Amino acid sequence: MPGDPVLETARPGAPLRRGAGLVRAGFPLGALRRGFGGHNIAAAALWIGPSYVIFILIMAFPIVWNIVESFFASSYGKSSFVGLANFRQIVDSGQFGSAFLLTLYWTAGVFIGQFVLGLLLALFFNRRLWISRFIKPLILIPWAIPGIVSSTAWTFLYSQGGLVDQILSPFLKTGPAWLAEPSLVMPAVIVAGTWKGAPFYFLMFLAGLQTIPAEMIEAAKLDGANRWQILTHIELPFLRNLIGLTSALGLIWTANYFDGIYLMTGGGPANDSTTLPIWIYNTAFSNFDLSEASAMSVILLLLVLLIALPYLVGRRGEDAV
Amino acid sequence: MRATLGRRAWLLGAAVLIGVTLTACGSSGPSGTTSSGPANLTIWSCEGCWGTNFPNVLKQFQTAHPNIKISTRTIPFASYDTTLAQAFASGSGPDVVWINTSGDYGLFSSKGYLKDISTSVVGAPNVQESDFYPNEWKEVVLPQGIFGIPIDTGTRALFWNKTLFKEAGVAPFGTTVSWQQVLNAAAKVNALGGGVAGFRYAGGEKWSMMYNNVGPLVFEAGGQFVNSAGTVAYATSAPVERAISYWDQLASYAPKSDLTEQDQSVAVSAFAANKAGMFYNGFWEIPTMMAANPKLQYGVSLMKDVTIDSNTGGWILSVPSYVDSSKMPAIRDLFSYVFAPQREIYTTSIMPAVKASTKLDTAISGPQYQLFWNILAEHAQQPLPLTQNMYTEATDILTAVQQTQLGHSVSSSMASLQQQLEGLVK
Amino acid sequence: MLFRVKRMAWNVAALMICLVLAIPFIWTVLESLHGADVFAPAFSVFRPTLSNYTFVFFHTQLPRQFLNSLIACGTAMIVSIPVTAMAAYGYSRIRFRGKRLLFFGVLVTQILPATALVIPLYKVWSLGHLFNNLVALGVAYAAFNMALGILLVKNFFDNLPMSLDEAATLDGCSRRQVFWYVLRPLVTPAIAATAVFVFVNAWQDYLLASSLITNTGDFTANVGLYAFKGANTTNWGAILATSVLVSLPSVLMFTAAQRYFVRVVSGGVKG
Repeated sequence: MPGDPVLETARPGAPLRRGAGLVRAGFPLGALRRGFGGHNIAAAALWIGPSYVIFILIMAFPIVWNIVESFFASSYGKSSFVGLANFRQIVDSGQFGSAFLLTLYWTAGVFIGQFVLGLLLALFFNRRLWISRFIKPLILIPWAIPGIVSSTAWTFLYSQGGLVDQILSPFLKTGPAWLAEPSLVMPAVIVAGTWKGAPFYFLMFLAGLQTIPAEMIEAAKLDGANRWQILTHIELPFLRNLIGLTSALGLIWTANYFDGIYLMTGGGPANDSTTLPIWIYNTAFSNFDLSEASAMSVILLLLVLLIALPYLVGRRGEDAV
Repeated sequence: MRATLGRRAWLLGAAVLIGVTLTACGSSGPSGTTSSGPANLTIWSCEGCWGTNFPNVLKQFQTAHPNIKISTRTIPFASYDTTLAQAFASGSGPDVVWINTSGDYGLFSSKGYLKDISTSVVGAPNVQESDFYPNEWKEVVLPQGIFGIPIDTGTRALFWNKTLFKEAGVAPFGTTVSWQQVLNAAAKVNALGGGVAGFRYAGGEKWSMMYNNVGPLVFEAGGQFVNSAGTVAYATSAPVERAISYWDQLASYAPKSDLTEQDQSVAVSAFAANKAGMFYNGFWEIPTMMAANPKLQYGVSLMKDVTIDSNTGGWILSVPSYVDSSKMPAIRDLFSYVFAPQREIYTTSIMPAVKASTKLDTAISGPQYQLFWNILAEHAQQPLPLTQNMYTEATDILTAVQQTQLGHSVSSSMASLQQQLEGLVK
Repeated sequence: MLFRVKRMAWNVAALMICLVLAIPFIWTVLESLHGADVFAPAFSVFRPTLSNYTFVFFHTQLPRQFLNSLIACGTAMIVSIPVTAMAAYGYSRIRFRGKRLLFFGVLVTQILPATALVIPLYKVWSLGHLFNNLVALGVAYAAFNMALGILLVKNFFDNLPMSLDEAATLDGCSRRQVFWYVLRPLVTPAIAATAVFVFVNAWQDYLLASSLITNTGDFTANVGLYAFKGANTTNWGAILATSVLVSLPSVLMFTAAQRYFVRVVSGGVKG
């Protein structure tokens, strides 16, 4: 409603200007500032403390252990400090470049696929349909199914004469071996990966879309906006931060993902689908060379941090963090 | 001929010994109840790895040795390696443990995770070299010592589908068959069309590659990938190149998708449904096959050309290195008890490594298993070397073989494999 | 009339989309009804049999393992919901030195792959004698899955203008009351999404549960499922039947949480 100080200051994605509306009304804020503003460590400890207690209890040791371990090498139970030798060995091996590029290919492909599919599903189901109460939960099934089963099912669908070949038979004479052709294996596993993880984006975007005040949409409709304009001018901007955080986390998880590809192709054929996590598993982790595995994890960690960095840096302009 | 005579003798011997065993069963084992003090032992194994009746054997042991308490833990096979690594890395875990020959034995022993038991356990009753099949024993003897006692092994052969052979006009195979015969048969069956493949395999899984696909072919040709000390690689040798070239031809009669197939069951299922002419795997597939298709008609043969087939894959009983030496007498008694022939058959669900156990193993004593026993007894001369880098070797070999199947030349793929293997054995 | 048809069309379209998405799962269900020969063509004529399901119900520990999963995942949810909501409020509404660093730390909890965490966690569990403790496992699950919740709910808090807080404070509310009565109802979709996420992710976990739970009777359902994959032979019938059953709780969880995914009518201040 025009003139409503709340809605006026609540521009989607706008930095929160504390008390902007009330300042205009000349309200004394000093009293409020002491309670709400200012650096308040005690309150922070109370509210944020529990989460950090749990984090430190469970995660502090593993992270530190991995970093420390990556600078050591052990044989016959004795550990010795070797500095950057583990890292040098990894980077010098011929496999590193290919694994790195495949990881980027996989991460980008799956992320875009999951994002778009999840968003489309959320938009579609963001309306009142009597059937949606029953079938919306079913959309979660790809995510809920155990990895080993999803891989087996997709391997079967991709087999020659399987469902994928049958569906594409009008276009292709004979179905290729999807998981065995070097040029097709990555797209094939990316499709399977997209299917598996899209429900997460659906969940997030649905939650987001449900909190957009109905008035905003109504007002836009009254102004004559069509569906596309509503999407690009109201819904997406309102969800900008949500999209940012979902993307940052989604990229991190996708880059670290291992199960699906490994169970479908084992990294093959001839390492054509061996991403970094699979390479870590194959040449380091299954050898139980823990130090080298830690070094590889540190490298993967740095790569993933690089992915997450834009999200964190991009928030610098915000007042919130 | 020779097989029939052997079979009759074995059946007779089995009948006699079954009678003897049944009467002897339940009685306590050989003496030794007072040689070790009180102890609490923990044993770990994986799901489906120890035999169905092994808990019973352990109960009997505790009855015979009242001051030794045993507790067990069964770990899902899929996480067995990880769980063991955690236990060894943190220095706390089982006192006695099942170790896999594929990769783990060489690896764990090279890292010092396993105790050298050549003096503390080897030499006890039932745990002497003469009790075991020679090739089984040879596997566990490393230059640095003996780090485990072989429990069992799985022998494998070529399965061929009688129905499809008849349809394709292929003469039935004998007990042994040459490489060329196999290739011809695969071509003819494949030509039947209608979704029928001449041959099927799991080409994306490294142990399948070692034990079912090219490994046996390499040994057949008298070669190996790496020597047992793990110091020399032979990827560019004539037997290896010959085996890989042959494999390329044979695999061309299989669906292309088998190149990355992770699961053996798919080939077995297709075979049972009369959609695959041949596959190569172990005798444990027989119950699954027959359950899927009770009317299945199949035969088993040895793919034999230059030398003889070998057996591979199995478990070893070891003691982690952190185990206190005060527990060793009790562990020695346990090994002695468990490896007695009439009990060793219960430690495993495949073939026992103890020679005398063979006649007693009634679970796999039907005629359909005879060839597999023969492999173990007569033909198993060249086990796969259990080197410390077996995992990486197997992965590299898998990659190189897949490359040849994707069109690279055998010589160039083997040359690069040689380089990689040499990098490992430095 | 046209309106009715259009409505129907939307509903049918929704159903079609779901069916297409569910094809791999439908394959799983059909194969699990095949009895012994699991890899026979799924969509061909067959005689359905429940033998795989009766096997997993009556001859395995699955029912008990389901319960164990419920305990672990339930703990994860119960712990994570209030903790993430509070932390999200803190990051959104409280200014303090080092906030950016701590917030970065939340993201850091996500960057290690699971395989790198298992071995050190085993050591921690060994020191604390926490093996087979489903509640401790639940706390670990919470730790790994809270990052999303914190970021998500914080984002939703950020979208709520400070004037809401200020107006409530003027009415005499303490910080706690502002949080509970004013802000929390407005972020329930985010909290519901967090609850579902934590539950589904924890329910899916295999690596952690297989390391930290050692008694077969205390296994979670997912670990029990993998137990059917033996060294030499795999009981695919049992795996498929168990997978169908294991997939259901996540779906049920979402069904229960659906009513919290309600559109907020107005974000304004009343009265």
